[in-house]
Amino acid sequence: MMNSLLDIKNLSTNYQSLAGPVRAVEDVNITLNPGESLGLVGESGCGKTTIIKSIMRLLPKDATSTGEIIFDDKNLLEISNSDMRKIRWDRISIVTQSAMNSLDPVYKVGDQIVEAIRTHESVSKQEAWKRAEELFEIVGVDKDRLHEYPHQYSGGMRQRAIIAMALALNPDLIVADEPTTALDVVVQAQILKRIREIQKRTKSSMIMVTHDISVVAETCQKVVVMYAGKVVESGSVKEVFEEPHHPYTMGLKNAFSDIKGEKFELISIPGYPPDLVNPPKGCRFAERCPFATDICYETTPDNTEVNNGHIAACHHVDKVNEMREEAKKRETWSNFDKGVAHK
Amino acid sequence: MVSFIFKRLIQTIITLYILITLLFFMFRILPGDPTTMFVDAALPLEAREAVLEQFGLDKPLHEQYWLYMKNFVQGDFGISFNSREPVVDLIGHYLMPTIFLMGSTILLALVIAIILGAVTAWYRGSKFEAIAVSVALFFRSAPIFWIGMVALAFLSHQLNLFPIGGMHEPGQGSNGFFETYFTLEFLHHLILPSIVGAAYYVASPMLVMRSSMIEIMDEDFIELNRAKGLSEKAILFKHAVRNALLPVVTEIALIVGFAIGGQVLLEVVFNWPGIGRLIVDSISRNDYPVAQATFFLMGVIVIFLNLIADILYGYLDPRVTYKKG
Repeated sequence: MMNSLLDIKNLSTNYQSLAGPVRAVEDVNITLNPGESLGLVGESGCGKTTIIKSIMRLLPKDATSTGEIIFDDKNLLEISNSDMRKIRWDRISIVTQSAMNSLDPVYKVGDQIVEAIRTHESVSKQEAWKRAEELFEIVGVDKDRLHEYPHQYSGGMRQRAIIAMALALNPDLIVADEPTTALDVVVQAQILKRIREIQKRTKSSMIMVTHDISVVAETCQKVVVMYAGKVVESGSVKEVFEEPHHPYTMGLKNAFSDIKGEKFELISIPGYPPDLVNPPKGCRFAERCPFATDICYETTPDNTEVNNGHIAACHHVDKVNEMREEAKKRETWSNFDKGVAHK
Repeated sequence: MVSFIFKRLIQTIITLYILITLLFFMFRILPGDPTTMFVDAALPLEAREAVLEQFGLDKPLHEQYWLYMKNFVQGDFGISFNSREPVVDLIGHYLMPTIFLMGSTILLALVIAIILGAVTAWYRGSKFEAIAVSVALFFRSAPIFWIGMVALAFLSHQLNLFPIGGMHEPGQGSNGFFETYFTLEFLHHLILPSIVGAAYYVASPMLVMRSSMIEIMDEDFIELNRAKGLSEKAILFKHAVRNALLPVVTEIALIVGFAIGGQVLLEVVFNWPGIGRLIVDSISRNDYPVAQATFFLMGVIVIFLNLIADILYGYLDPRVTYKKG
């Protein structure tokens, strides 16, 4: 069996708040093999970014993580700060959510890339600068612009610059945290195309964090669907999206247009995610789920392996075919909405 | 950039013109005239008029103003009504001590403020932060002359660490610029007033630095730098402090304007032979030429330091551009 590059086991992360600990991520398991790309999807606030920050150890001081994050046979939650610094960027780099503000406004973009290189490798400034020029060629930005400041860049260019920086040290794992959210649609498509090309070329593993499942469908092999801090379904992109076993995944599919351009009405999932200070008993999705029964409100569903490597955390995986048919209809979600109202 | 400086220079000249005019009228509107100070109240009217005539104060105001402006442009600030010395000589004599004291005070205050502001923000919520902020505010709230007198009483009188005031021991430091200002003896006299002044000025730039740091530390690029594997030290000094400095630069010009008031008190308490004392003396004697010239000089200092802060800002922040027009 192949040794996995990243193995997250039973990761739980809490934040402190005035109301008590926020259980932002609970009992998450994710495995990523070398060269693989994985999509992490779910709506805002479901814990995607928290997982990324747990991996990079960038959480605020009052946050605590338990479980294991095994990267290259080391538990990232236990190694020393200086060992962690060596792993950051050199082995794991990130393309951040808000590339707009991720570059220091008072330094030239080139200098910031050179800084990343020279923090981890003892190369001369000229050499590092040359590498920055090559990186800019890869991401498709004129290398003369390395001499400019971030405010002289457009949003798309800044995102490219961050991608160039993320590639600078040939990391084993690149984490892209909503890399295209802040960009307009045309630029989004360009950036995604560029990310796909680069991934093919560098053979780095990738985690793509997004709330847009079409992005995952385009760029990833594996997908992990999260809801309210928990993994509800995971497996290969093909299986999870073509044969979803969790009602939340079905709902999510309805809420986005198909990338192939097939026309159908978008249906949204009514309601809001639960409060993570006092998460509900049982399945966290139950309140918004049109198929929920008593058991869903009582006991937490186990992870069921519905197919080889395809896991869903739902009590009703046996009724998946009926659910899938029903989930396609608008009434299923809207009737249910009324149902909640008079409950 | 060049056109920006040129434009600012023109603005500066206009500001200076307004300043000069205001000074002219200000001292003449104030009650009293030069004769009231040094001439007996029982002076015969003819003698008093003779004095006024000698100083040109008998002429109509517009004529006085015209003459005043003409002389100003030619760099002639007149003759002191009091000592009968040319004002330029007087100022030349008192200017250097003020520049040295004010420069060292402000420099010291800024260095301490930037370091303390950065450290208190970095260790936010710590005991150190609470203590540093309280101490800075204490010195800011206490009158500068009081701190000065307490410092003199303890450090000079009781502990004998510093001289009791003045710029030199009697008989020292009157031969040449370097012999006057670049000796250990001068430095020894300079330290205490500089520390007292700095303790007073440190709070406001420190608090500006601190809040600016706190804001910067929440920025995404700080987190990205951490993700890049930079050491905390590199993030603090190379990125956080560097960005947080920008509002402090603006603050510098404000402190300088503010420091002039404090400078007067500082010079009086420490018996420092500077412009500050010259200002006080000239006003109390209605010595118009000296008062006008010293006020003018202070104005010039503030205006030019503002200009320098503006230009410096442009160098520190690449987002600031100096456009034409």
